[in-house]
Amino acid sequence: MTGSTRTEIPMPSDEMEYRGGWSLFAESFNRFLELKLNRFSLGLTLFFIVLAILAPLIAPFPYDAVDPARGLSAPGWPHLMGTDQAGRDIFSRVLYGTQTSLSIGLVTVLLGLVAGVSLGAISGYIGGWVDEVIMRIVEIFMSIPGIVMALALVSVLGPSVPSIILALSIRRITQFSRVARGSVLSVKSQDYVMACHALGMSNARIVFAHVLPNCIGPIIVLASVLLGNVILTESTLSFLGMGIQEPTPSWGTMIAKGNEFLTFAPWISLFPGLFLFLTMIAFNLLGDGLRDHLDPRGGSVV
Amino acid sequence: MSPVLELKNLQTHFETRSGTVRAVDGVSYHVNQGETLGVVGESGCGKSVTSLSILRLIPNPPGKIVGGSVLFEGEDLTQVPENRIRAIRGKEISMIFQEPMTSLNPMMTVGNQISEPLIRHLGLTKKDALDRAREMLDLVHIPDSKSWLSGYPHQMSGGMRQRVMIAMALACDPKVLIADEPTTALDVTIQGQILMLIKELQEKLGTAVVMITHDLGVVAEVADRVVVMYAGRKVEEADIHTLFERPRHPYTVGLMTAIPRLDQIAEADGDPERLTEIPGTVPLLSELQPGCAFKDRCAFATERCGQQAPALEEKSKGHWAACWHEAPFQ
Repeated sequence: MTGSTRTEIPMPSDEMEYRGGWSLFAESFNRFLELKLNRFSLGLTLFFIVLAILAPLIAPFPYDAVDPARGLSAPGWPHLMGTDQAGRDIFSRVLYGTQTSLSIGLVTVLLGLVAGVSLGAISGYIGGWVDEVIMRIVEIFMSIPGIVMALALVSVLGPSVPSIILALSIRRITQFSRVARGSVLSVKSQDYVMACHALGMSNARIVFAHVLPNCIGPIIVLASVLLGNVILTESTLSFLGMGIQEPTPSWGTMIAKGNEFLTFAPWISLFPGLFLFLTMIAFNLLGDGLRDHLDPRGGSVV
Repeated sequence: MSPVLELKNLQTHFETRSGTVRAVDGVSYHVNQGETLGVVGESGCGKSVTSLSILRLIPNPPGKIVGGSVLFEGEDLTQVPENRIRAIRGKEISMIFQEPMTSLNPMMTVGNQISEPLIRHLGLTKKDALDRAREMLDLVHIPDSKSWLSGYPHQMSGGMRQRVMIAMALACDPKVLIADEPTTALDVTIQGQILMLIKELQEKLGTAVVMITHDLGVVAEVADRVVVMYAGRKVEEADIHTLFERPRHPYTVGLMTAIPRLDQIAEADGDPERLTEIPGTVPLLSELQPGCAFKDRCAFATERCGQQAPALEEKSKGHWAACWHEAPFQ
């Protein structure tokens, strides 16, 4: 390390050998965990994922076990989070709801991210008529209200998890593609992209190794915001009868269905709402942490 | 000595709303092996566009090479297919740019960035490429090269980044290095170091250098031969000594008198002498009128200059100029 550098980012010492990708990743991951906030958000995220996987083992009741005699009972024993109007155990339903909500949220955002970022990157990088065509198509999709398009798609394909994911991800594709295109447009006019051309690199190499890594910040932030957004939109679909069908639970449907009992049995909406809230906090913090971590200039890294 | 790179009557035009801009309007020059050619001119004279045209780096649209040829070892670069020109960029002909602060990817380590052309052009493995990258960092005198391999550009100063740019450009041992104002964004002491470095590496590696600059001082320091450009055309060409001793174009004379000189300031008693300037600015290249492009700013312009553009003429051996008048212009 020479004395002239400004930030004290740890530099490999002299005895260090050239290493493969894995040990570099491990080192980078350890650096990520040095921040308390990152440990918290990653831990919370993993907690919810484990919860979703282990839901059948943890849940004290089946999610569809009806017990009319105990309908609308307050949190206590044996119903830790109370029951709904049909006497179904809220705790069990919230756990199973984690499965549906998280899988719909994650898969939808991932689909939207991969497809949208590719489209936006192609559009912004190539420009010209390719850009015009892609962006006009994206605008056509954006002009249709998201929920209307999702309703139409689900009513054609039938209300199943894959068709809900498909219906919700089309909207995300347009959102990701616009953000990605904007970032690519600003990055591609940077001097280092011209320098890459002057060094004879291929367009694919320039886009994937040089342009996209410099666009990662806004994309990660959008992804973490959209995750909560998707989980809530799914509940709107359910509310309109086109989402996850009863008795399968999802956080969104539970919150929506609990609405009518809010004044005297708030626990029906409260607990799925709490889980949704915590998940969103976890993913938003994780997204922010990742963004700062991936930017080598980030002052908050160390 | 045969030229490595030869431009013949190169024409690059930009189509804009206000008409065709003839940014490069029939420029010819050549560089021999191991030689440094200075290309001088003020902002907007087409010197950068010329150099970008050599590697076909002009964004199209709006720019387009509409005529002439760029011969590299007998191959016309304006005609070769896209993948051939990509194989030449960075391997046979390299470029370094004006802005070292923004010419490196901020998200990638210095080592990886220098390795990239090595992996692409020479097919080295990642490990060999990093070894070579380290040698290149040593070559451009970056201390503690091994740890800098995993450093990021934002940790470096402007001068260090320009050294890294030079290391990247020379990594594949190119035959020609085009340096587009490599020292403009640096402060004077670093400018000197970078120029000395380029000169030193050129002697070591035998690279031909095209040094593009607006600074005659830089040219005097490094160039063997000089091309003076004005409004997209070459107006004078000579070897460095001839040019400074006996400039044949009023524009060149104007550039020389505009250089601040310590001895002149000292001579003036009381008020420091005001720098001489060339009146006016470069004409818009979209609205060139007939006659010499320099006539409106030239103290020696006559009626003939307004009617007919002077052609390049060999005034003495190896000394070309495009002017109706005879030197000296004092």
